[in-house]
Amino acid sequence: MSKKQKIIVMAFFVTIIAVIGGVAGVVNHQKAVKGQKQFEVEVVSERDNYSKTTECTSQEEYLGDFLRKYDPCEWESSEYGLYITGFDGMMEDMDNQYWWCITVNDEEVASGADEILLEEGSTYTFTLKQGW
Amino acid sequence: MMVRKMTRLALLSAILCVSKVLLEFLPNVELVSLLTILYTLAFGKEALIIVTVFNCFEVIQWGFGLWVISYLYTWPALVIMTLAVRKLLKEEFVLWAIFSGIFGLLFGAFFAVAYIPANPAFALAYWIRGLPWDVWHAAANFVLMLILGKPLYKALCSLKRQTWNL
Repeated sequence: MSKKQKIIVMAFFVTIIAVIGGVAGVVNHQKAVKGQKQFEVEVVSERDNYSKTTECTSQEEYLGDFLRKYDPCEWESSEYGLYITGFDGMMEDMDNQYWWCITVNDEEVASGADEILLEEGSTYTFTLKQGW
Repeated sequence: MMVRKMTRLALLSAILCVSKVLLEFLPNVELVSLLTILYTLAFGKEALIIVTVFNCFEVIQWGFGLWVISYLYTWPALVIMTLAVRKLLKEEFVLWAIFSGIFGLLFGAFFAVAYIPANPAFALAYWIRGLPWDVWHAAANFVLMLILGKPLYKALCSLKRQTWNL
Protein backbone atom coordinates (compact mmCIF):
# COMPACT_ATOMS: atom_id res chain seq x y z
CA MET A 1 0.00 0.00 0.00
CA SER A 2 1.53 3.32 -1.05
CA LYS A 3 1.68 6.36 1.22
CA LYS A 4 -0.85 8.16 -0.96
CA GLN A 5 -3.29 5.24 -0.72
CA LYS A 6 -2.87 5.17 3.06
CA ILE A 7 -3.67 8.88 3.32
CA ILE A 8 -6.76 8.49 1.11
CA VAL A 9 -8.04 5.51 3.13
CA MET A 10 -7.46 7.33 6.43
CA ALA A 11 -9.12 10.52 5.17
CA PHE A 12 -12.12 8.48 4.00
CA PHE A 13 -12.45 6.77 7.38
CA VAL A 14 -12.08 10.02 9.33
CA THR A 15 -14.76 11.61 7.12
CA ILE A 16 -17.15 8.69 7.70
CA ILE A 17 -16.58 8.90 11.47
CA ALA A 18 -17.13 12.68 11.44
CA VAL A 19 -20.39 12.26 9.47
CA ILE A 20 -21.65 9.54 11.85
CA GLY A 21 -20.65 11.76 14.78
CA GLY A 22 -22.66 14.63 13.30
CA VAL A 23 -25.69 12.43 12.69
CA ALA A 24 -25.44 10.99 16.23
CA GLY A 25 -25.32 14.53 17.62
CA VAL A 26 -28.42 15.59 15.65
CA VAL A 27 -30.37 12.41 16.53
CA ASN A 28 -29.54 12.79 20.23
CA HIS A 29 -30.23 16.52 20.37
CA GLN A 30 -33.03 17.30 22.80
CA LYS A 31 -34.70 20.67 22.94
CA ALA A 32 -34.98 21.91 26.50
CA VAL A 33 -38.18 23.61 27.62
CA LYS A 34 -37.70 26.97 29.32
CA GLY A 35 -39.87 28.26 32.16
CA GLN A 36 -41.55 26.82 35.22
CA LYS A 37 -42.35 23.10 35.15
CA GLN A 38 -44.36 21.01 37.59
CA PHE A 39 -43.46 17.34 37.98
CA GLU A 40 -43.26 14.49 40.51
CA VAL A 41 -40.19 13.10 42.20
CA GLU A 42 -40.60 9.60 43.59
CA VAL A 43 -37.96 7.99 45.80
CA VAL A 44 -38.22 4.24 46.44
CA SER A 45 -35.99 2.04 48.56
CA GLU A 46 -37.09 -1.48 49.43
CA ARG A 47 -33.98 -1.85 51.56
CA ASP A 48 -35.13 1.00 53.80
CA ASN A 49 -38.90 0.32 53.48
CA TYR A 50 -39.24 3.78 52.01
CA SER A 51 -41.45 5.22 49.30
CA LYS A 52 -42.26 8.89 48.93
CA THR A 53 -43.67 11.01 46.11
CA THR A 54 -43.19 14.76 46.10
CA GLU A 55 -44.73 17.41 43.84
CA CYS A 56 -41.96 19.72 42.64
CA THR A 57 -41.59 22.81 40.52
CA SER A 58 -38.44 24.09 38.89
CA GLN A 59 -37.15 26.52 36.29
CA GLU A 60 -34.23 24.24 35.47
CA GLU A 61 -34.05 22.58 32.07
CA TYR A 62 -32.31 19.36 33.08
CA LEU A 63 -32.93 16.91 35.90
CA GLY A 64 -29.29 17.09 36.98
CA ASP A 65 -29.46 20.86 37.55
CA PHE A 66 -32.65 20.41 39.56
CA LEU A 67 -31.12 17.65 41.74
CA ARG A 68 -28.10 19.80 42.56
CA LYS A 69 -30.48 22.15 44.38
CA TYR A 70 -32.90 19.50 45.67
CA ASP A 71 -32.21 19.12 49.40
CA PRO A 72 -33.04 15.41 49.88
CA CYS A 73 -30.59 14.47 47.09
CA GLU A 74 -26.97 13.74 47.84
CA TRP A 75 -24.65 13.66 44.88
CA GLU A 76 -21.10 13.84 43.60
CA SER A 77 -19.62 15.25 40.42
CA SER A 78 -18.06 12.70 38.10
CA GLU A 79 -16.58 12.78 34.62
CA TYR A 80 -20.02 11.64 33.40
CA GLY A 81 -21.83 14.48 35.21
CA LEU A 82 -23.97 14.35 38.34
CA TYR A 83 -23.76 11.04 40.18
CA ILE A 84 -26.49 10.31 42.75
CA THR A 85 -25.24 8.84 46.01
CA GLY A 86 -28.33 9.10 48.23
CA PHE A 87 -31.78 10.42 49.04
CA ASP A 88 -33.02 11.43 52.48
CA GLY A 89 -29.95 9.86 54.09
CA MET A 90 -30.40 6.53 52.30
CA MET A 91 -27.04 6.04 50.70
CA GLU A 92 -25.81 3.82 47.91
CA ASP A 93 -23.62 0.92 49.03
CA MET A 94 -21.04 -0.07 46.44
CA ASP A 95 -19.75 -2.98 48.51
CA ASN A 96 -23.19 -4.58 48.43
CA GLN A 97 -23.97 -3.31 44.92
CA TYR A 98 -26.74 -0.86 45.90
CA TRP A 99 -27.15 1.99 43.42
CA TRP A 100 -29.75 4.59 42.43
CA CYS A 101 -31.63 3.83 39.22
CA ILE A 102 -33.53 6.60 37.40
CA THR A 103 -36.76 5.98 35.52
CA VAL A 104 -38.88 8.61 33.80
CA ASN A 105 -42.62 7.93 33.61
CA ASP A 106 -41.86 4.29 34.55
CA GLU A 107 -39.49 3.86 31.61
CA GLU A 108 -35.81 3.07 31.93
CA VAL A 109 -33.50 5.76 30.66
CA ALA A 110 -30.17 5.24 28.94
CA SER A 111 -28.55 8.47 30.08
CA GLY A 112 -27.46 10.29 33.21
CA ALA A 113 -29.41 12.94 35.15
CA ASP A 114 -27.52 15.75 33.41
CA GLU A 115 -28.93 14.65 30.04
CA ILE A 116 -32.53 14.06 31.15
CA LEU A 117 -34.89 16.92 30.31
CA LEU A 118 -37.29 18.24 32.91
CA GLU A 119 -40.77 18.11 31.46
CA GLU A 120 -44.14 19.29 32.68
CA GLY A 121 -46.21 16.50 34.23
CA SER A 122 -43.47 13.87 34.18
CA THR A 123 -42.64 11.54 37.06
CA TYR A 124 -38.97 11.01 37.87
CA THR A 125 -38.46 7.90 39.95
CA PHE A 126 -35.27 7.10 41.87
CA THR A 127 -35.13 3.49 42.96
CA LEU A 128 -32.40 2.00 45.11
CA LYS A 129 -31.52 -1.19 43.27
CA GLN A 130 -29.18 -4.02 44.16
CA GLY A 131 -26.87 -5.70 41.65
CA TRP A 132 -25.17 -4.33 38.58
CA MET B 1 -1.55 -27.45 29.03
CA MET B 2 2.16 -26.66 29.17
CA VAL B 3 3.36 -24.46 32.02
CA ARG B 4 4.95 -22.12 29.51
CA LYS B 5 1.65 -21.66 27.69
CA MET B 6 -0.27 -21.17 30.93
CA THR B 7 2.22 -18.52 32.05
CA ARG B 8 1.91 -16.76 28.71
CA LEU B 9 -1.90 -16.75 28.88
CA ALA B 10 -1.85 -15.46 32.45
CA LEU B 11 0.66 -12.74 31.64
CA LEU B 12 -1.14 -11.50 28.53
CA SER B 13 -4.53 -11.55 30.31
CA ALA B 14 -3.05 -9.60 33.22
CA ILE B 15 -1.66 -6.98 30.81
CA LEU B 16 -5.14 -6.66 29.31
CA CYS B 17 -6.70 -6.10 32.74
CA VAL B 18 -4.08 -3.64 33.90
CA SER B 19 -4.35 -1.66 30.65
CA LYS B 20 -8.10 -1.35 31.21
CA VAL B 21 -7.74 -0.22 34.82
CA LEU B 22 -5.04 2.30 33.87
CA LEU B 23 -7.25 4.11 31.38
CA GLU B 24 -10.55 3.86 33.25
CA PHE B 25 -10.44 7.57 34.01
CA LEU B 26 -10.75 8.32 30.27
CA PRO B 27 -14.24 7.41 29.03
CA ASN B 28 -14.16 5.12 25.99
CA VAL B 29 -10.41 5.30 25.57
CA GLU B 30 -9.02 1.81 26.10
CA LEU B 31 -6.19 -0.44 25.03
CA VAL B 32 -8.21 -3.66 25.28
CA SER B 33 -9.32 -3.56 21.62
CA LEU B 34 -5.78 -2.81 20.43
CA LEU B 35 -4.21 -5.55 22.56
CA THR B 36 -6.91 -8.10 21.70
CA ILE B 37 -6.33 -7.52 17.98
CA LEU B 38 -2.55 -7.74 18.41
CA TYR B 39 -2.79 -10.87 20.58
CA THR B 40 -4.93 -12.47 17.87
CA LEU B 41 -2.44 -11.50 15.17
CA ALA B 42 0.46 -12.87 17.21
CA PHE B 43 -1.09 -15.90 18.90
CA GLY B 44 -4.15 -16.76 16.81
CA LYS B 45 -6.97 -18.66 18.55
CA GLU B 46 -5.11 -18.49 21.88
CA ALA B 47 -6.50 -14.95 22.14
CA LEU B 48 -9.94 -16.47 22.78
CA ILE B 49 -8.63 -17.92 26.05
CA ILE B 50 -6.93 -14.63 26.93
CA VAL B 51 -10.13 -12.58 26.52
CA THR B 52 -12.08 -15.20 28.48
CA VAL B 53 -9.64 -14.89 31.38
CA PHE B 54 -9.94 -11.11 31.05
CA ASN B 55 -13.75 -11.41 31.25
CA CYS B 56 -13.38 -13.48 34.44
CA PHE B 57 -11.19 -10.73 35.93
CA GLU B 58 -13.86 -8.18 35.07
CA VAL B 59 -16.53 -10.20 36.88
CA ILE B 60 -14.25 -10.54 39.91
CA GLN B 61 -13.60 -6.80 39.91
CA TRP B 62 -17.12 -5.51 39.20
CA GLY B 63 -19.47 -8.37 40.11
CA PHE B 64 -22.09 -9.94 37.88
CA GLY B 65 -24.53 -7.83 35.86
CA LEU B 66 -26.27 -7.81 32.49
CA TRP B 67 -23.22 -6.07 31.00
CA VAL B 68 -21.18 -9.24 31.70
CA ILE B 69 -23.24 -11.09 29.08
CA SER B 70 -22.27 -8.40 26.55
CA TYR B 71 -18.60 -8.75 27.49
CA LEU B 72 -18.79 -12.54 27.16
CA TYR B 73 -19.49 -12.31 23.42
CA THR B 74 -18.09 -8.87 22.47
CA TRP B 75 -14.40 -9.58 23.08
CA PRO B 76 -14.45 -13.14 21.64
CA ALA B 77 -16.31 -11.65 18.64
CA LEU B 78 -13.41 -9.22 18.14
CA VAL B 79 -10.97 -12.15 18.18
CA ILE B 80 -13.07 -14.07 15.65
CA MET B 81 -13.44 -11.03 13.38
CA THR B 82 -9.69 -10.42 13.57
CA LEU B 83 -9.00 -14.06 12.66
CA ALA B 84 -11.40 -13.73 9.75
CA VAL B 85 -9.71 -10.70 8.18
CA ARG B 86 -6.07 -11.12 9.19
CA LYS B 87 -5.02 -12.65 5.85
CA LEU B 88 -6.78 -9.84 4.05
CA LEU B 89 -5.31 -6.96 6.06
CA LYS B 90 -1.88 -8.62 6.53
CA GLU B 91 0.49 -6.31 8.45
CA GLU B 92 -0.99 -3.10 7.10
CA PHE B 93 -1.57 -1.16 10.31
CA VAL B 94 -3.46 1.68 8.66
CA LEU B 95 -6.09 -0.91 7.76
CA TRP B 96 -5.94 -2.42 11.27
CA ALA B 97 -6.48 1.07 12.66
CA ILE B 98 -9.64 1.36 10.56
CA PHE B 99 -10.71 -2.14 11.63
CA SER B 100 -10.17 -1.21 15.28
CA GLY B 101 -12.06 2.06 14.72
CA ILE B 102 -15.01 0.21 13.19
CA PHE B 103 -15.06 -2.13 16.19
CA GLY B 104 -15.15 0.92 18.50
CA LEU B 105 -18.04 2.32 16.47
CA LEU B 106 -19.95 -0.95 16.73
CA PHE B 107 -19.14 -1.51 20.40
CA GLY B 108 -22.40 0.05 21.64
CA ALA B 109 -24.41 -1.98 19.13
CA PHE B 110 -22.68 -5.19 20.27
CA PHE B 111 -23.40 -4.27 23.86
CA ALA B 112 -27.05 -3.44 23.18
CA VAL B 113 -27.73 -6.89 21.72
CA ALA B 114 -27.79 -8.36 25.25
CA TYR B 115 -30.61 -5.96 26.20
CA ILE B 116 -32.87 -6.95 23.28
CA PRO B 117 -34.50 -10.00 24.98
CA ALA B 118 -35.29 -7.94 28.09
CA ASN B 119 -36.49 -4.75 26.39
CA PRO B 120 -35.92 -4.13 22.65
CA ALA B 121 -36.98 -0.45 22.90
CA PHE B 122 -34.46 0.14 25.68
CA ALA B 123 -31.76 -1.66 23.66
CA LEU B 124 -32.37 0.66 20.71
CA ALA B 125 -32.48 3.75 22.94
CA TYR B 126 -29.29 2.61 24.70
CA TRP B 127 -27.49 2.22 21.37
CA ILE B 128 -28.68 5.57 19.93
CA ARG B 129 -27.93 7.48 23.15
CA GLY B 130 -24.47 5.97 23.21
CA LEU B 131 -23.64 6.69 19.56
CA PRO B 132 -21.66 9.89 20.27
CA TRP B 133 -19.55 7.85 22.72
CA ASP B 134 -19.15 5.11 20.11
CA VAL B 135 -17.81 7.71 17.68
CA TRP B 136 -15.34 8.83 20.35
CA HIS B 137 -14.45 5.16 20.96
CA ALA B 138 -13.87 4.68 17.22
CA ALA B 139 -11.61 7.74 17.01
CA ALA B 140 -9.59 6.63 20.07
CA ASN B 141 -9.23 3.05 18.78
CA PHE B 142 -8.17 4.34 15.36
CA VAL B 143 -5.50 6.68 16.74
CA LEU B 144 -4.17 4.16 19.28
CA MET B 145 -3.79 1.44 16.64
CA LEU B 146 -2.22 3.87 14.21
CA ILE B 147 0.41 4.95 16.75
CA LEU B 148 0.97 1.83 18.84
CA GLY B 149 -0.14 -1.02 16.58
CA LYS B 150 3.03 -1.70 14.61
CA PRO B 151 5.62 -1.24 17.40
CA LEU B 152 3.60 -3.31 19.88
CA TYR B 153 3.03 -6.04 17.30
CA LYS B 154 6.77 -6.18 16.56
CA ALA B 155 7.51 -6.35 20.29
CA LEU B 156 4.99 -9.17 20.74
CA CYS B 157 6.47 -11.12 17.82
CA SER B 158 9.97 -10.65 19.18
CA LEU B 159 8.83 -11.80 22.64
CA LYS B 160 7.11 -14.77 21.04
CA ARG B 161 10.32 -15.83 19.29
CA GLN B 162 12.85 -15.11 22.02
CA THR B 163 10.95 -16.02 25.17
CA TRP B 164 8.44 -18.61 24.09
CA ASN B 165 10.28 -20.10 21.09
CA LEU B 166 7.15 -19.96 18.91
